[in-house]
Formats: sequence, C-alpha cells, structure tokens
Amino acid sequence: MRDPYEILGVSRDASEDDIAQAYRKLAKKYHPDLNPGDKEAEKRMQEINAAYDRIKNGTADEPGPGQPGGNPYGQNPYGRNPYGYGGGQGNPYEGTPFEDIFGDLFGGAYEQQSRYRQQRPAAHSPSPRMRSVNNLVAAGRYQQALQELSGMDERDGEWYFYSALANAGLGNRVTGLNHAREAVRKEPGNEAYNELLDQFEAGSFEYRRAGQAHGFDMTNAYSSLMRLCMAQICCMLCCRPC
Amino acid sequence: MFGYVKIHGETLGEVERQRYQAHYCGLCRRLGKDYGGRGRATLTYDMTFLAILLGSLYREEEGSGTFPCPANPLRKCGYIETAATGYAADLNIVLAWYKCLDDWQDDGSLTARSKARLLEAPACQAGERWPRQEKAIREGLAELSAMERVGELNPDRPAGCFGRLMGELFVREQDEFSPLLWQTGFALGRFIYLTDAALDLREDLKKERYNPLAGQVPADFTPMLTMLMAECTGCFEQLPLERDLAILRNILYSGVWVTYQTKIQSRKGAKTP
Repeated sequence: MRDPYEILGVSRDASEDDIAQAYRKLAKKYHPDLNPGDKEAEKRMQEINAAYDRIKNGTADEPGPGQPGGNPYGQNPYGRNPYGYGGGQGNPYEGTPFEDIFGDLFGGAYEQQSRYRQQRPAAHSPSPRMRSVNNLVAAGRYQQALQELSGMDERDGEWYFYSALANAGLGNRVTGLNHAREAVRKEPGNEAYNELLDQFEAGSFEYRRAGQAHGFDMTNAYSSLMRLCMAQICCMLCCRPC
Repeated sequence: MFGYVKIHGETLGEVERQRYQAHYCGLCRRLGKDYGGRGRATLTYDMTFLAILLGSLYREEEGSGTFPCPANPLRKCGYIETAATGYAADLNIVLAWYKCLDDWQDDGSLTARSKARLLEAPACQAGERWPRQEKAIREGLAELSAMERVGELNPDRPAGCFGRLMGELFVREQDEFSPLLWQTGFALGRFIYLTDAALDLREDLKKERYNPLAGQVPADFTPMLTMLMAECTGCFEQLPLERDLAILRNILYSGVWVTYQTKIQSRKGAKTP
C-alpha cells in the first residue's frame, strides 16, 4: 500500500488541520457524489479515505490491511482506539426491556406482530479465536467485544460478522451495516452472515409495513425504500425454503 | 439541525391537524409567557413532538384556550398546554442558546453572538430547572464540535453523541418508561444528525467543510436512515400511548421524511431537465 501521506499530498509533520484540509480538497475533487458514475474517482476516493484513516488513527507506518483495494466501504474505523467514546454509551437507564441480543439490536417492538422478527440469525458456532468475542456479544458487552476485535489482524468474514453485531449493539448503524455487508461479500454462502444482513434490513421492511398500516402510503415518494423492500421480498420468495 | 421532526400534513386528518397546530401554538405561547419574544423566536417542531409525546404518555391534564397569534395579530390561535409543554419550552431555550454559542464560535457570526446574549439569562434559568438535561446538551455539543474539529470520519461517533443527547432530553424524570424513552430519543437523534449530514453532503464537499458522511462510498443513505427510524419506532410502539397517537405516528412514519424526500426529489428533478 502506498504511503498515506503521499496519497493525501501532505508532509509527515503536517498539522491535524492541514491534513483535514488536504482531505477535504481531495474529497471535493473525487467524491462520487460530485462525480456520479465515475468508477476511477470512486476508487481514488476509497484510497484517500483509507489513507486518511490510517493517518488519523496512527497506523500510517504499519503495513496496510492485507486486502487489495482496502475496505470497499472506504472506511476502516479500526485504529488504535477507534471506540474511545467520551462518556457512557448505550442506554444509561436501568432495566433495558430487551430480552435477548437481537431484540436489543433491532428494536423489540415488532416481536409479536411480525413473522420476520421470529427469524433469528442462524446459529453460528464461533471459531476458537472468536469464542471469547462471541461470549462478550451474547452478554451484551459490546464495547469489550470491539476491543478484542480491534486487536485481531486477520479480518475475515467472521470478524466482520462479529464486528457488525457488536457495532449494532452500540447503535453504530453505519459501521454495523457496512460490516454485515462486508461479511456477506467475503463469504456469500454463509447462512448466518446472510441472515444477519436480512435482520438488519427486516426492521426497515417492518417499519414501512407498519407505516402503511397506519395510512402512510409512501410508495411513490419513497422509491429508494421501495427498492429495498422489493429486494427483501425477493429474498423471502427465493431464498427461504419455507 | 432542527426542524425535521414534523407532521406530514397531507396524510393527517383535519381534527389531528388542528390538534397538532394547537400543541405548536401552546409551545409558542408558553415560550412567550416564560421568556418573552426572544424565547418565542426559538420555537421548533422537534420540541413540539416531545411535548406531545410526554403529555400523552403521562396522561397530563390539558389546558386550552385561544390567544392572539404573535406572528399574525389578526388571527386567534387555539392552544393546548400540558406540563410537558413547559418542559419542552425550557429545553427549547437551552438548545437554542447553545446552538447560538456554537455558531458564534464556529463562524464568528455576530448575529449568533447577539442572539446568544439575549438568550443567556433565560437559558440559565431553564437549565437550572433541568440540570441533567442541561449538562447533556452542554457536554454533547462540546463533544460534537471537538469531533468536527478533528474531522472524525466514522459517522457513528458524532451521530451517537447527538443521539445520546436526545435520549437524555426524552427522559424528563426517571421511571419505568425511561429506558424506552431514552432509546426512542437515541435513535431519533442519530436519524436527525445523519439526515442533516446526508442533505448537506454535496454542499459541504464543494465548500470543503466537515461532513461526517464524506468517507462513505458509495453514498446511498436511505437504507441506513430507514433502519434508524425502524429502531426508533420499535421502541416508541412499546410505550402505552393513546392520546394523539395518530399525530405521533404521522410524524415518525411519514413527517420525518418530508424534508429529506423533498430535497432528494428536487435534486433528481434538477438532473433531468
């Protein structure tokens, strides 16, 4: 991987502000939102994102993550201390009413009404190196699970699977969804990973369904949501043996 | 970053629409009574939502009547007021004050500075009544601007920060509803923050300003935003709500998308002449 400082075009002793400025200049030039359909620009932007991340989290001088092209979602939030939230995270009020991890992750309201909610991600038996992470996630200790994960170098499908779970538990929707997608991308045939991704999206499906039941027909206005739901329906029709 | 949590008028019945308007006017009136014209100028839809939610949840007694509309003295406004209206008014003032301080510090805006000066005394007064919430706003916004300063590119971090702030505001007092109220606010706060970021993305990129979603490639944020609303309503629907439930649902299932969809549609319209 190229030197991240070189990618951003800044010197090694550049200040934080200079680095942020350099990043924003490049983002203005290459961000896909300003260059729709330009694959080359998208690739450059991913490179720039990865470089910026490595400088920010102090891993610029270590060899890059051993995946050609880097994380397809541009961002690798695993640096030295990427989860150093100031203050508490998660619900500070006692007696969180969630019974189980997936109720917690995906909101428990539709528990009774929805048949989609009854499907839990398929049981996944963790590989030996993931056993303790698996226990932490099951116990709701997401922060610690992420800490353990950030210490692992090998980022395979299983790593992204657990990272997606722990991130979702902390309410980190963006990273959670990206990592669930990444787990499936790495191992498209893995049932548990696919089910997890479905679970992420099932909530949205149910939200839309409930919205319609309350009289908000959003079919025309919400084409992007519609596509998501169509994908969901197709999935249910084609992939589920039931 | 305020103003997303509002009704979708076209899908709301006439009776409900009038009740919503009366709640809105009730908050306006309360702001005027407690803090004068400068207080009234801070009126937001978002805090109207909170006033309706808490008033409904705790089955608070309603006061109602009419008063001359400050924006249009020829009109008489019907208003509804509950104890939650006073709470929402207090939070509204504190939020507006810190927002002005923020704008002043960030852009050196002089208008923001004079507004902040006007709001200082009422905001301190309101903050003393709700110390936990005041602290959450103060610390949350400080943490947010620190993240913006260093160009944080993991959107979950600033979004979570704003979400926790909202979570604290949704909990007026601690009781059996606190966990659900907190979680509802936590999801809604993240939704608001990321909607705002998604809508500003193009402009921020062009002007080389900070935007928490700049590092997300490819950039389709609707699925993620929908998931957040699913999480929000997932908790909301577990609350034992009856009064004004149709209004609250209209907001959470439909109204919160109005600004987002309008802006996205207008962009698409601009692309295909």
